[in-house]
Amino acid sequence: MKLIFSRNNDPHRFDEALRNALDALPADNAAMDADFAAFQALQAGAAKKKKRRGGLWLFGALLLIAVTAGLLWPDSSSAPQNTGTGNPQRDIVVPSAPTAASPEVATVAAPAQTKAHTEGGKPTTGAKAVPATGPAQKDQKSVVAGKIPATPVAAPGAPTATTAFSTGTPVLPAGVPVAPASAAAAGKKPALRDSVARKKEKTDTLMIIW
Amino acid sequence: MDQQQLEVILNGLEQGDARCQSAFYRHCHGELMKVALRYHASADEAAASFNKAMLQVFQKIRDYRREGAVMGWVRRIIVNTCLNELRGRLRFSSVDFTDEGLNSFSAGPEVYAGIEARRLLDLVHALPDTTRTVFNLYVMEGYTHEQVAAALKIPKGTSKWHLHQARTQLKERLLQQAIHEAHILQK
Repeated sequence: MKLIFSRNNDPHRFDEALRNALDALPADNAAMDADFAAFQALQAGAAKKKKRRGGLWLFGALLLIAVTAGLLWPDSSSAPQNTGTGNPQRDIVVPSAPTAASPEVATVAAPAQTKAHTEGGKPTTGAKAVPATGPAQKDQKSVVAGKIPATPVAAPGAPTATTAFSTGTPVLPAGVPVAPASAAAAGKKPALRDSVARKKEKTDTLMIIW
Repeated sequence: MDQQQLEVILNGLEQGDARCQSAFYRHCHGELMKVALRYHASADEAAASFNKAMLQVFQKIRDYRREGAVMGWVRRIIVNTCLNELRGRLRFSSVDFTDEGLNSFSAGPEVYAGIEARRLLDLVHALPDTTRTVFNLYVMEGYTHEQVAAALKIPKGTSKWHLHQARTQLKERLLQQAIHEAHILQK
């Protein structure tokens, strides 16, 4: 009797009795069909979601490719241009944006173009950007005098430059070397490179002083 | 369902066969729906948890390495799904409770006489969510207090306190039930 009492006090025995009773609970199959119908709906919903997620993956992959391409070549005009001779030594690479080698071009282009654009109110292209008479010509004269910089003008006979409407940056056809502003204003051939011309000017000045 | 039939069904499940899915669902529903019913007081919530678990079973059937019993694997998924469903709802306040307090529990034979499966499930459903969850994990799933504490992210003492609460409340209700039945019999 004492033994039975002590066993009754054991909490683990109580747990076991509850576990056995709950495990012996008969399965309720009445709701099985309804539950299975709900499960099929859930499965169909999950499959749809998976498909939609697949579409998102494709969109994400395309977006990633586009962004990566944009990072490699943020501006298509700055990408190297091949003149098409097939010889990498001969093919001249002409960056459309101004480089450090020609700082005059970089500082000159924007103000003159902005002025021409605001005065005329029309987009200008090529030789029309600098008319024979008018404020632009005055600017050009001032450049020669060393006062106000002006837009570079291509030499006669050379392919004409076109001006981008939005930025005012001159865009030359591929293969045409950029002429320095001073040389263009003087009407000289733009054969000399800018740095060489500047060296020559310095030498001349030194010689005069000497 | 014998082992050979189960193997055929498992092969079908790996191929995504709809008939095998239906057969396996019905087999598991009979055996394991009561597991979900112990965790949820509402039958609808239990069915929703069971369906979510079965969806996971069908999606991850290739992960089952056929080393242990498949029903044990499915049962574990059902328990984890129920815990995930309940986790947002469970609010535990930290309590320090010792083993001495836990072992001081006692229940007389009259309490055992009142245990009957269908009624007992109702009594388990009447427990608070937190206490019921600890009771289910410790008593029904065989977790230790360390495992319960880790699963529910609570201190070990809190797990012990909730188990003690579950035992005490169930004992009291079983006693009341036994007394009520005795009165009916006397009349």
